Amino acid sequence: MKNRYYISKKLFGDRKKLNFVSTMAYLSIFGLSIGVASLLIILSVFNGFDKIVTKIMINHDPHVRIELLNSKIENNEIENYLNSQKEIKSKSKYISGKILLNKNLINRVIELKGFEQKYLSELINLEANKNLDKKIILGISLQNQTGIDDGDSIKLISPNKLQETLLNPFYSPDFANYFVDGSFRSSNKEYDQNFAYTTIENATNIFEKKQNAGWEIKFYDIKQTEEFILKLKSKNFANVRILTWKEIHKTLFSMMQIEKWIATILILFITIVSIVSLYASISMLIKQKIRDIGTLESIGLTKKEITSIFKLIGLKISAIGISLGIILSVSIILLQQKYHLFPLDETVYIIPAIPTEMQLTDFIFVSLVSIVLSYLAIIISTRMIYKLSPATLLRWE
Amino acid sequence: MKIKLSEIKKSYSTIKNPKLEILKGINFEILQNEIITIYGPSGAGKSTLLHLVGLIDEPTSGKIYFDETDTSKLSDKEKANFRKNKIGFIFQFHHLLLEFSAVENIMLPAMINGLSKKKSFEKAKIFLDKLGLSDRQNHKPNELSGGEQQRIAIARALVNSPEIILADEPTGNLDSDNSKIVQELLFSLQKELKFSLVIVTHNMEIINSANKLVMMRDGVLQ
Repeated sequence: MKNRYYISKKLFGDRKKLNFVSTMAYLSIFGLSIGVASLLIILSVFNGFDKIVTKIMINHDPHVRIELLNSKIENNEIENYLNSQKEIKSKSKYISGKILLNKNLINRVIELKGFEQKYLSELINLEANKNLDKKIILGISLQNQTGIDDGDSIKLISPNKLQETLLNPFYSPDFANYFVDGSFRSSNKEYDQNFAYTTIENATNIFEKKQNAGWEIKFYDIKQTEEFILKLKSKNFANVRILTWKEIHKTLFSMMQIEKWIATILILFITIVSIVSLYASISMLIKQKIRDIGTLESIGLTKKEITSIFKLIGLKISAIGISLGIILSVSIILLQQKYHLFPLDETVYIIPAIPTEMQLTDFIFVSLVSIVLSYLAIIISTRMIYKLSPATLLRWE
Repeated sequence: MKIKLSEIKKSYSTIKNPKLEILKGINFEILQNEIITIYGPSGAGKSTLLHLVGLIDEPTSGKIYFDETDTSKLSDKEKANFRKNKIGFIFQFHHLLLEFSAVENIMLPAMINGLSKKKSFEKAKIFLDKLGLSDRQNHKPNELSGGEQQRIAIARALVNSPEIILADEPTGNLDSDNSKIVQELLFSLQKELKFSLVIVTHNMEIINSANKLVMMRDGVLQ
């Protein structure tokens, strides 16, 4: 093996000599490194977006939501179980539903959600003991769009009460009078535009009967979610639906995942093209060294040993290409993280630059795919050596 | 080592002729320390015969024995071992590896035979000295004259101390002066190292110096 490495190094080690074959080899190295770098950069950008979206989601949303299907919030069995779980950092019962918000000529259907006050205080940074009786807190964009100020009086009516009013013309609309007690910012535009929060007591009064209800739970570590879900499901609580933070935004995360894979497959074509050029380089190298192959066989090497010399050359080209690709991608990703080479308009986006996040698994995946594809190209291209006859190769000049 | 060829036939398939018969039943023996010259017109099958003896080609039918070993039963690896240890080739066109220096070209068979780089170098140096090419040790083949290239090729063939040297027109590509040098070198080395020497040639001086002279025509020995 040592001798074969020596021969391969000598046969293809002359960097000063630039010919068609070595030019092809350099192009293969260049192509492979660009392909690998593009793949890694694209994957890291997707990871970056993924991380930011996840951060936005879990910043405001629970890690696990238990939805009660019969809308009866009095479920001591679940409450007791949740109280006994040490991994839970905070939890709250919730009641939520659509509601009509009215102030003078402003009518707006919003989503009102009531939590236990302790949980609500942590969620939107409120004073823990603040009196929230007959008060709601609006999303920042909702407040801006409606022009409702802090302390303003508003009227709220739930859809079922509104329905009763519409069905009976003699029935006077039963609006609940509330006050706006500030606003919250969640970094999720949907919540900021359409949501309002209050205490669970207020929400119970407003909705009376038809409402969504359940528990929202946050852990000390988001990674505890899966384990907790398994434990919770094993309890077989009746009439509940259990959702993780990923399932709450299933469509979004699925779309992101699909986008990631489509982009990966498209960029993979760059790598495949460079691997085809690697195949061409080795094939041409073999054709250029065809007489040397005959000579090596005449002095005692087997075809298998000669093939391994050319495989070493191919592996060297692919190893250099893949390594350069990794170095290039890491450099660009680090520069992007530090100097924001590709910035974003901060008036439009909540982040200053295209986010990137390196993941070891991506590096392993891309390296393995490139190595396997390169090795296939090397094996296919070197197979022709077995078909060559040294006697024919050495016969003529 | 005695090499025996028995009823050797070799044919190729071409577009014009699906069964082009090159060798038509050759019976032939090469004894130890013997110099055999094979001559004959072009296309007679001389080089093909040499390639078969050197185990870089296979006969269509017939057997080649190295002492008692039937080479048709050898695996590729075993044949390669024979070529490594017992056979040395010298071609009309030196077939030196252009990326390797003179000394590296000579070292190569020794390294392939399992010798360390250092020992191979020492062995190659002995041959370079013997052939008067010490000052050319680090020159690449294209920096050497035709005669020097062929002398390096001779050293490469001899570095593993083979029992037989197969030379295919070794002076065919040289001018008369270099041709004489190479010829004298080959014969003196044969005398010194006592290997069998089979030379395919048109060179009359070589033909006249052989122990055994074989004329080949139309695939048969005459």
